[in-house]
Amino acid sequence: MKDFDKRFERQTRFAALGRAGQAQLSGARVLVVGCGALGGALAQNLARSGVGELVLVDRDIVEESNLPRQVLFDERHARERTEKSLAAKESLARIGGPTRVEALVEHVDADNIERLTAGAHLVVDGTDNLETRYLVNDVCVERDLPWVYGGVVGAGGLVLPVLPGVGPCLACLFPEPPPPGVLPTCETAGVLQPAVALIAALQSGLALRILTARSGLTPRLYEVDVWDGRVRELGVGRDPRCRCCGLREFRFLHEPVTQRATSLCGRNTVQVRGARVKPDLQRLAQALEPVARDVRHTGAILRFAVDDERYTVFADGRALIEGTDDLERALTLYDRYIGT
Amino acid sequence: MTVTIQISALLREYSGGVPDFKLEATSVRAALAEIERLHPQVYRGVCDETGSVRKHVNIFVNTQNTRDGSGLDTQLTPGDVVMILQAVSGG
Repeated sequence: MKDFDKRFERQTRFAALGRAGQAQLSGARVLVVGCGALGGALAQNLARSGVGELVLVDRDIVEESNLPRQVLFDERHARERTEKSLAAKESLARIGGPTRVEALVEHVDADNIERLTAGAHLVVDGTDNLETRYLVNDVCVERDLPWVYGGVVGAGGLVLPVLPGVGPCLACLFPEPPPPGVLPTCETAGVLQPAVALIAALQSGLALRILTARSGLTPRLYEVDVWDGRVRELGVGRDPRCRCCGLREFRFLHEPVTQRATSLCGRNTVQVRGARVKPDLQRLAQALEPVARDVRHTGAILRFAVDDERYTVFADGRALIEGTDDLERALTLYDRYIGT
Repeated sequence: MTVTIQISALLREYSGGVPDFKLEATSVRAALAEIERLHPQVYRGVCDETGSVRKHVNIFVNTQNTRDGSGLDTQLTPGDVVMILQAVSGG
């Protein structure tokens, strides 16, 4: 028996996959957007399953607080502040196997998403903000490319396989992202590792199915909660008036918020333009109380501090982040504490 | 008629940690009016100032999304479970 056959023998014995399905996996290219908690688990699951090529893209670096739930990173990565996609590639290389891994240190936006998705058979979602997910949704619907949404916070989250033309897209289900500050983030509400593992497992299983036996798969929304021990399967349909898959208006793709981050010369401060909708500063202030210092909401301005950075958030969603002149870092911090 | 309202874990901070409760309503619209009375902060998270369901929120009756059917005019029957669920951004 060849090494390849021996390695995947238990998988190919699963009749619905079989040797034919394994061969399809080995010929597949999958883009993993975001390489943190969900993205790292997704990358590991898909690499161990024998997907032929993985493209990992993430703009962030590994930190100690990532280690409880981001399975591809260790203390050395955190100590050396290794870029997440590079650290993930290194860990996947230790597992071995036939998967080719390309690691990119980039902020995913409208300028590079078409290049990143070129040649991909599937996109899996490991990002940490809705703005990027709506961008992924736009490009995937435009290109008839399947993707699997996954979101996690606290003890639970959601999974939706998006099969353009077959089932609903993200914008059918949630027509618009909320203003910054409305939804909890992993920083404000916390997150449990088993929730990450369960959601990534659901996403990964659906990914294998889409890559090998897509026909007959009915897209459904899954809502899970590991604290309550609950998995719900919910019926969702396409919206014929959907801005994205109905009217085919891809505004996250074609009307991007340009130059989102700008360094303010000589001030060790980055200005980050917000998302398309105005934040709810009052709710954001409430959500930040447990994790931030000096939270002060006065009129149209919210100020707070976390670690070495101080934040000033304006009513239009614009923020000044003092304490860094690194644009990528500032975007990461914006999505982490202000969110979309 | 009595129905059960379930709210996703992320909205529970506005219901005092209560995951579900029962109320009397014959439609989703009537149920939301009761929620506004009983848990105004939950209502504010679900509906905007015009009374429309926020675009990052869905209301399911049992396992069906009301956005795919009659929306707020969806009729309720005794024992129905009305679940309020919002988008999740973390990852």
